[in-house]
Amino acid sequence: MNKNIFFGHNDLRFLYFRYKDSVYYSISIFITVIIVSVILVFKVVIPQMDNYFSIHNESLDLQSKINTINENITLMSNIDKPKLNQQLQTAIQALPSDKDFSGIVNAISDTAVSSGVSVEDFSFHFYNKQGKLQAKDSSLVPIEISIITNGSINNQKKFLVSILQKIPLAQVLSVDGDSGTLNINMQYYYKPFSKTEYKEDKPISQINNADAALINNLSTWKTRSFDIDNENRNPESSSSATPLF
Amino acid sequence: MSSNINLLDFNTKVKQKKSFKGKRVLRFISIGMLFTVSASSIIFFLLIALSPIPQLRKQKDIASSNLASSQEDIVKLSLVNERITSIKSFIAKRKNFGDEVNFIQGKLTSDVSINAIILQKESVFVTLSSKSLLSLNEFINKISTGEGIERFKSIKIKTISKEEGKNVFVLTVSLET
Repeated sequence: MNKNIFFGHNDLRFLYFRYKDSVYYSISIFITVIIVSVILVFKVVIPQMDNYFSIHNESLDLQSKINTINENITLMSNIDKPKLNQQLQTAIQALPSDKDFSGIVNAISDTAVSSGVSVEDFSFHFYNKQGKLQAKDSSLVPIEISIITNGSINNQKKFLVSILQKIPLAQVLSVDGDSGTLNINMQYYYKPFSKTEYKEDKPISQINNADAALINNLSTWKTRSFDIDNENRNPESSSSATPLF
Repeated sequence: MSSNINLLDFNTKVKQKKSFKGKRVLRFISIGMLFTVSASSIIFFLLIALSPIPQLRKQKDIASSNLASSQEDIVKLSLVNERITSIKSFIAKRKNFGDEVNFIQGKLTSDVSINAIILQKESVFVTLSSKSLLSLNEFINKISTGEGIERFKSIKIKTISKEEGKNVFVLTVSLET
């Protein structure tokens, strides 16, 4: 049996007219508004808020990156380029990027001449990056060199001190001998160029005063290079040179 | 049967008053929430729409292109810094054997000579010879006091002998640094 009293008695329009003056009508409207508002808070306002804060953070991040880039531009525009080239040259001479045999031989010869010792014999030992002589600083690759020097104890001592004040930089590992002859084991190092990871928004570190002073100090340790061709052309200079090897 | 002769019930008025108060509170809450939701939504929409990100991105691109012209110098600078860091730690760690020789030589008297010397990272072996045992004794006394104690962890006399032909005393000392 059809329970409808009349056709459309459950329609919304009928229900509206039936309950519009009732207290329940307004209460239901208010509750609906509150529920919809709560839903809107969770579905619209909070995501909008998240979005706003992420945009705000991004803009702050961008602003700080722009400031860093501008600081980098100021730093690079104020840098003394010839001085930087000189500092780079000194740093590379002190710690070469590859095996610098001529530099090593020049340093030893120069030190021997200035200390008054003669170098009788020398030998190089090479180790690859995985070699047992790997230095503590993993990026440094050692070249071991053994030399035999002749001279008085004072001159030998002078040699041991002076060799540390020459570039490329050397380290004396051990010394064995008597007052006349010393067998010196040394290590020279080279450091291959690593891939420079440059990010424009990272602050560029300037060469600080202590480092600049160290580079200046290293530049005074440069060795006199022996130009074989010139010495051959000029017999006077070759006759005055001290025989080393 | 009701004893009250009034047709209107007083309790109904009180109930009506209560329901009116509740309705007013609900209306206030619903309108307030609707207003808050719409206002905050509009405010956030405007803040998002007016964000400075596009202008900042443009500024960053311009600044980056300006910096790109100095890229070569930046690489040089980073290379210098990288090398100097290694050089600094290397210089700080390496040992100066000249100092050791100087120290030992400073403790010798004129009639004592160094026959042999072995300098290693953590130890020094020195063989001395002298015609006088007193001079060798003086050397041992000198290195085992003052600066010698600070410099060396242990001082050991390895051998002491006399070379009959040359009539000299030979002393071998091991010093651990």
